[in-house]
Amino acid sequence: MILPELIISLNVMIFITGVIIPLGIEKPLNMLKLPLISSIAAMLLSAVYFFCLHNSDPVLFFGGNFIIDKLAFYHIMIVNIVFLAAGIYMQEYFAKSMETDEHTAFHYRRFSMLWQGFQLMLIIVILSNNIGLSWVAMEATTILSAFLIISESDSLSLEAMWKYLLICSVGIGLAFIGTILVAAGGINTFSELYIHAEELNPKLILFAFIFIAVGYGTKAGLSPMHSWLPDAHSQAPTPVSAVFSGVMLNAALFIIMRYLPIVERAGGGSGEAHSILLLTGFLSLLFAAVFIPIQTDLKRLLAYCSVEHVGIIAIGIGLGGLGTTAALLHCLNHSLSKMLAFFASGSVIHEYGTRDMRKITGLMKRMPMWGTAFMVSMLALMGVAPFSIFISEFLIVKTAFTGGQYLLFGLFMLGTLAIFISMLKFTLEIAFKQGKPGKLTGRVGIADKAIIIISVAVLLLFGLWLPPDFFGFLEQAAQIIEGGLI
Amino acid sequence: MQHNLLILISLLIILSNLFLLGSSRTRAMLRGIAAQGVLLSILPFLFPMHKSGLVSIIVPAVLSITIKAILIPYFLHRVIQRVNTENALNPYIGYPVSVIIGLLISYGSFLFIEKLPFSYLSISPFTTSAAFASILIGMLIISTRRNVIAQIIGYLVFENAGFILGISISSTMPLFIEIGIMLDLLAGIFIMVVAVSRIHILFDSVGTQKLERLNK
Repeated sequence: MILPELIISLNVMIFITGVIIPLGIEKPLNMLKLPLISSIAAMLLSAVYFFCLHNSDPVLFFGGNFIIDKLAFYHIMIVNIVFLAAGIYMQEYFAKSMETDEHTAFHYRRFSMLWQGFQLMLIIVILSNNIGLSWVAMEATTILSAFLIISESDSLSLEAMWKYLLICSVGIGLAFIGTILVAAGGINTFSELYIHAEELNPKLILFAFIFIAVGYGTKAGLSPMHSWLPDAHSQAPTPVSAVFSGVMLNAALFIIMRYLPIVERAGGGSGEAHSILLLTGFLSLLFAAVFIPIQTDLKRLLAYCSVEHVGIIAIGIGLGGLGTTAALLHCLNHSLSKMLAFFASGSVIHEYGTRDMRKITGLMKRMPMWGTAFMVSMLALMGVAPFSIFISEFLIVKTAFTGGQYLLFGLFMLGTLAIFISMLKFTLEIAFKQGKPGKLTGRVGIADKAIIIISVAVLLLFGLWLPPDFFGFLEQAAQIIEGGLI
Repeated sequence: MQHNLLILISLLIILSNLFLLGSSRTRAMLRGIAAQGVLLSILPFLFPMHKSGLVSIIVPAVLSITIKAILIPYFLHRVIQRVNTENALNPYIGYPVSVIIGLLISYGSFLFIEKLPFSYLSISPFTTSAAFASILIGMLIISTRRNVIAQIIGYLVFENAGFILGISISSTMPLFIEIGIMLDLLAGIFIMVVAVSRIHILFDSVGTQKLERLNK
């Protein structure tokens, strides 16, 4: 079948054109339309990916170096959805900030080019079947996204960028050593490694997996290597924070998910790799629970919240079984709600002119539309009942409880409860505490309204009624992590 | 003959690491890291059995000498010239102590390399233990030197360790991926160097003391 080769080539070509065109454009606003156009095209192409995958086995192409299966397709969809929404939001966001900032055309041209390169590399990370290619593309995402952070060029964002660049490069360097050790046996694709897993040296593979989990875990923001994350997420321009949180963390976890079945099968199902994920997952939860209550910066709060949710996803995968399916569902839920939360807080910060949560009050009265979006997304992130994050967290808790792991169950409840309390306090104060009277002008464009309404609707819909077909699809995707690729 | 050469090169790599730990100036560190780049480009010729054909030996060697021994040191040289005023590293740990720690790390990794589950893969325990020592020494430099240029050099030591390990235990990666790895490294260093000049313009310093405002 030639179809997947054709689609990915088209996909690459779209982004390469998108990267080249800004060189010939003079108006900054037009340069920023290109990321939107190319993510719409990528979105359309991902629909075609679905047809070449529909109800069939994983499709390998380009000499087995690329793969499309249900797991990859699901993550591609998350990438494209978040990038599309961020591309739409970006238009208003930069139109507003252009009124105050005096950035040059060079600045927006660089942003547009790097942004599209970043999206392309994330897509390659997910479609890659070759462990070396995954590494190369992952490292490229660090290099390309570093300069997206300092778009608001001040000293703090420069510091955040330097930390991001250095810590993530070292992390990815550790993953490189893990990759080399896995490839030492002479096989370098995920699917072949899984087939021959029983012939691999289990000790070597586990040793390598520690490097891989630490390395890609750094990029995913798993504790204790998350120290770059709050800085980068809080200092970056809002659309960048949204894709960092909603996509990049998932993509790094995705590579760990690809390695997991190989390590488990090589070790004869001893569950050691799962325990590593459980450990770092709970550490992340703990760090978030300790640091969330003392935050004053709104975007920093959301960043620590990302550490929490990445931890929850790792815990879900670490528990295995139903937990893996729940973790995959959690990826989408977290991406949608965190994206919405960042968009809302970006607009709020712009209108109030401060990021200090103590100074942002009476949001529901002063900015009803973004206020509602903020409330809904924060409630969803806390895991409140009618929203879909509640379902995925509930399923993870249920897995721990029915599996008889009461200690993990207790720790999970304790961690999420502590985070729930402090986030609820922050949210209520921001939304309802008596503030200055009078509405803020905050115009909400039609496209932004559409993003808010669609994401809230999806979060509610999946919380109230999860379509059985979709859940079945997730179960099959989880089967890939649980039982391997074939 | 080949075995002796491997021992010699491993020793030289360890020596260059110790030199980097002992230097108190970024210029000196630059010479050390360029020398290490030259040493690395010899390695592919000493492991011919891992490679299929002459091309797969020559390409990594040529890439390594152009990127690790010429281009990257050139970038770093340019940026060091630009930030000429400030050359000191302000380390958390003094230079003599750093060298002693480096020696202990190198000796320790040589002792423990047999215990690690991949030692059987390599024909020479010297190169793998040099690689492992380089990982730790690179991290030591990154975490104890309060100067962004020294941190980049520490990162290079760390990256070189991956290269040594890759050459000495496996090289099953397709050629396009090996090229990709090298280009990633080059682009990464380029971005870091640009970031350093930004930091220098904004703070008028390349020390990391001013990069410690985001905490908590």
